[in-house]
Amino acid sequence: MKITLNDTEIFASTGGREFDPSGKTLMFIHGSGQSHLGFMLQHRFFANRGWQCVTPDMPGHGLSSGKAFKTVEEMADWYASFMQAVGIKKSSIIGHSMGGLIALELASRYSDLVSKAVFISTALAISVNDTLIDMAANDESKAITAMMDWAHGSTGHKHQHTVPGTSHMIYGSRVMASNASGSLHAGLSACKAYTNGPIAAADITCPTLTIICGQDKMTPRKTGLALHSALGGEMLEIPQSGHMSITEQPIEVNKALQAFF
Amino acid sequence: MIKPIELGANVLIHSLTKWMGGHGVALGGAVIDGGNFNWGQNDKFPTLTAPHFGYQGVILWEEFGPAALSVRIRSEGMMNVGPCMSPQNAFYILQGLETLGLRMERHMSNTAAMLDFLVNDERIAWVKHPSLPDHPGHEVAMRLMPKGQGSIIACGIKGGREAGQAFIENVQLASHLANVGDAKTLVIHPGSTTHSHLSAEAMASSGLTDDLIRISVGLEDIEDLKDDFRQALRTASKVQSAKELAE
Repeated sequence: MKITLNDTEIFASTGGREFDPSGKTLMFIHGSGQSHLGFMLQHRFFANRGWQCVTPDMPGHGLSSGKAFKTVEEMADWYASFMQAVGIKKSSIIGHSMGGLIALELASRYSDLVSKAVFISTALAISVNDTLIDMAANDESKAITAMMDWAHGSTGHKHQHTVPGTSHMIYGSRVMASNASGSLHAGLSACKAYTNGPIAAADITCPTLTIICGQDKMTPRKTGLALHSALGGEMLEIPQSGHMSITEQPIEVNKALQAFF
Repeated sequence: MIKPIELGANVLIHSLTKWMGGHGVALGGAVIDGGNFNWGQNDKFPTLTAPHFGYQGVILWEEFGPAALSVRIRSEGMMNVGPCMSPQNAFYILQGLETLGLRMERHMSNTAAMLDFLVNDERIAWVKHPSLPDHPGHEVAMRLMPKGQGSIIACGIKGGREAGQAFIENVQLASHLANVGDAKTLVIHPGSTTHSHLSAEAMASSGLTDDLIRISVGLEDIEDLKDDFRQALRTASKVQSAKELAE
């Protein structure tokens, strides 16, 4: 699906199905440096099981044009605008990594738009290392390589992909490299600057599910547990996954989402 | 040996039957999608950028991005056509891959020794291999493949077609086969076998000469291999002498 929002051409994956905003809707929110392709193994899975799935690429990401936002709050406002633009009155939302921070803001400030919220491999705050932020500004490909290394657990490093023969780290690198230059830096900076997580979490009233991964180096287990503690709701731990659980352990993630929705 | 994707390639097509399997006992191939080509940059790739009728109308480039081509190969080539490797062949190739690194080192050291032998044998008219300075691709090969430039050697045997045929028919350790990349050394004389049906003009236009021998250097003890070549060349040179006497 392609729409024009705020004079910017926006692409949103609908899992290869026609999108009907009046149906049971799931909106996936990608993380920093990612795009709809990060949720490749989720949105098609649910789109083929009767859900109306939509995974928009934020400006500057994936197949959307425009410039990346600089704060998590702006990103949440944009997702609310996107929902309105495509006619979604209420949706379950699934945020991964920085997408989880956006989901915190969206679910707390636009509670009428959100029926359920899932937080995957994320936290109340993501304290990004300054060296990585500088690297993203000055040598983006080096930052991508480093992030691919840290973002994957043993499954990713051993290239044990659900789609045999696919390399998590190479595919992930290609996805990140295809975003507009500067998007990764903007996203990482936005994560670092975001401090409203605890307040936003306290304001969320919809049912929540938090998915925490045992080998996550980017949003470590203890930060996931802190998020779950602030949110309440349901929780799933996946011990054998790094930060990229949506691609490393898609079957477990999808089962949990199916049970939750 | 060589990293084509790092050198700028987008898609690799490999034979698995040859060095990777290493034993010439299982047919196989592989396509490696580097995921580094923008299929959506223009409308030249509609099979990836337009709705795919065989995949519920999905636009592969939009849904799978860098993996668009590999998804299409799987979904259409494998799922619909079904060229699925047999378990036994898969076993052979996987077992071969386990020793690929070790085997390539030996292929390279044997090739270097065999080149030295051939270049210095007076019964050999000429030798071609990318590691030799007079090869037109020498500079490029040394830059792109610094660890070794492959184990295929082409050489010309004095005495032309008859001598070449005699050499092939008299090797005992090396095998007379049209395959390449086996653990065992393989030799072939195209002029009397695979290309024997071609006219002299056709041979010349395809760069083949009557005296051409193609060698795929294997993993045998190099001294055994050289001994085998020596005795086969001795026989071939007798054919050459007899031919000269007759003339």
